[in-house]
Amino acid sequence: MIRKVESNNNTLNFGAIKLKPLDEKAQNILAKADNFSSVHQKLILGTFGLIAQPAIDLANKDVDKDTRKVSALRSAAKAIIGTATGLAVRSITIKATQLKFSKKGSGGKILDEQKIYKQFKNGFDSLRLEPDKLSDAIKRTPSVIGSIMGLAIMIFTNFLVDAPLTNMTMEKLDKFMSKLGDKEDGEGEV
Amino acid sequence: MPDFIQKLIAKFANDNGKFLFINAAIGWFLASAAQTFGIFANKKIDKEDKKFLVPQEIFDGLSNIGLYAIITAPLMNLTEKMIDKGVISFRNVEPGSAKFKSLKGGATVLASFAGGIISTNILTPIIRNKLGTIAQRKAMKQKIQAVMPKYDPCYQPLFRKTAEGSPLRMSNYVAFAKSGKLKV
Repeated sequence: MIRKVESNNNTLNFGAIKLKPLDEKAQNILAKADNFSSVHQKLILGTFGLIAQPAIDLANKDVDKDTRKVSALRSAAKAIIGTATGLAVRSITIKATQLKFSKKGSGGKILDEQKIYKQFKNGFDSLRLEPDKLSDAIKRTPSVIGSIMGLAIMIFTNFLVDAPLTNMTMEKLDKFMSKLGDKEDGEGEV
Repeated sequence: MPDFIQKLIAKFANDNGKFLFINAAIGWFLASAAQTFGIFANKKIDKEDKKFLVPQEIFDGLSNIGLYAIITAPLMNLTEKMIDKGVISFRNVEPGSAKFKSLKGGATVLASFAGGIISTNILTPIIRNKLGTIAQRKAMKQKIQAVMPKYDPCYQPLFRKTAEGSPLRMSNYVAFAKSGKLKV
């Protein structure tokens, strides 16, 4: 016998579902993540890309073996070089901005929050932030400026550094893989 | 400093998740443009490989940014809504407090990273390979058609031309021979 299930008004209520409250460990991770910069972003996405993308290319059965290999090598080379240059450029530009906005003699370690606030006073005032949120936003400002500067520099490094280095790394990886292949073939011979 | 720059920087600094989202999208656009140029200009890459790699790179860039936006933006919004509605909550933290806002910001940043990993590292390579394969097959088909000899009515009977792929039947040949088009 089929019974009609009584509808519950709360079933579709998004707020009715409650997950277990996040403990302090999870909160610490989230608090750190709130201040993550584009360097952290590049590192995390680049590392996952280096693992996942060549594996997906190698599993592509729609193309012949050689194309699959070229494609996987290119993805690996792109991930290595893209992440390395991206990290280098962003780290340099963010560090330079931190130095510019830090207290004299602190080596970029202690930010001069007043200096940052004065420089972007109109912007911060327009947001009408609470003191704690304002302080967080001020602390993140050098990383935002550094990341934007990094993007501007990467217009050039992408062409002048990334593209030729990716091709070079691809060739090196190809040679390395061929050597590995020869060794494996040799081991099998009697 | 111009007012709009001050406002833009302050807005980005206040909403780190949104800033990282936009920053990554611009970064991928620039990287993709450079990589496509790199393959196109590389004389060491075989022409046949370029036929696959250049469209692959263009599809890569377009699908990268498109998928990133389609997946990441809703994921970030969903995370924010789940926190606002109390689906995700934080132990001993008052909703609406500065710490709460900071944790919410952190969750949005992590959601943007998760969206980036799902879209650009998993879905984009799969879709780009599928689209790249179609482009490669099309290029291959064009190449085969270019190499194929053109139809010559002096040597190839018309019924073979019209009935492409069908077996040569005696009845067809007889009809063709009687038509007066057969040249010996």
